[in-house]
Amino acid sequence: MAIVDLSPTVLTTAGLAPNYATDLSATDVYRVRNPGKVVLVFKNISGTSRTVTVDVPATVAGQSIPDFTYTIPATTGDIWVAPLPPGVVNDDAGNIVFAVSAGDGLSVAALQVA
Amino acid sequence: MPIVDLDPTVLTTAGVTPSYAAISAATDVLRVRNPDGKVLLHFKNVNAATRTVTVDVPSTVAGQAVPDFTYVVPSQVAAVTNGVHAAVTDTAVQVVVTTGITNPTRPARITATSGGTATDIADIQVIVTGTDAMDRVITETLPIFTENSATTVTSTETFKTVTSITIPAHDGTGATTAIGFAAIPGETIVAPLPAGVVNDDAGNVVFTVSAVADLTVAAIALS
Repeated sequence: MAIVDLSPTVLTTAGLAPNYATDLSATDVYRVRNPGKVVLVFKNISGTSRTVTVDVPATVAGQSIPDFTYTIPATTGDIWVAPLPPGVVNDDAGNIVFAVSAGDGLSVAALQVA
Repeated sequence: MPIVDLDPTVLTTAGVTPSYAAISAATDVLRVRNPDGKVLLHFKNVNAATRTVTVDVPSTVAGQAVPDFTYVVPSQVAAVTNGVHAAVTDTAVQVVVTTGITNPTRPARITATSGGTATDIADIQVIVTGTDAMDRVITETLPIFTENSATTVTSTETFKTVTSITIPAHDGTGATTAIGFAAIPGETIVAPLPAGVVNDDAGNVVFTVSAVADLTVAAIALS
């Protein structure tokens, strides 16, 4: 299990094309710095849906909160996730941490609104 | 000059799929509610020509008008069968190609196309190694060729660069294998669009486009 850091693309008023990380792996864990304005964009072109699980380390009254899970539909799946509140999803180092059920055909862009 | 209101897709922690809208006419004026300056505009272009988007900027600075914001949405790059490497003629042994490689102009899915003498084409699988848009090293074994028939297969991953191509031996030296890339749509995301700069009196972003064919836009709002 490798930890893979993904650098968010900072959006600008000048406009840009997002960078997608591709070839994700179910054996890796992905981290994205999250100052609070990160949008995760998942696209799936495989013939099978993919599940993304965002770790939720926060607790409420001592009780754990279930991790956030997203199903990315097969073939043309296009799911945008935001907001991802730092106080809920960030680890101690200020990162979102997520894993995927399978990586073939699944890509992700981490966008950060300036 | 019709005014067309676009409803932004509001992003949620639960995740949503944005709605992409075609634009009916270049004479349309498009409006999107942008009360907090939290709207993103996502343009996709699958036309061979670029598209220009002009966001109206009604603001003034010291009495001087601020120029409108303009964005060029890149054109779609057409697929090129041998755009990464010219056809390689079979030599009866596996070859690993690391030279003579041209990277796609933008990250793209990679294609492999078999050709030449049909009866020499084997049901082999080409292996491509390179990097993705975030410069991570990736490797993919492409789908299998159809034996005795010219075939094009396409990667599921998107490659920014290609560093090596492994081509197993075919069934005869009359077969060829060309490496190219699939069509690459143009894509531009614009944000932030500061409400105090771009909004009209009613709190809308207002924009027009140079041409509408093959152009779609999603208005996406952060909650």
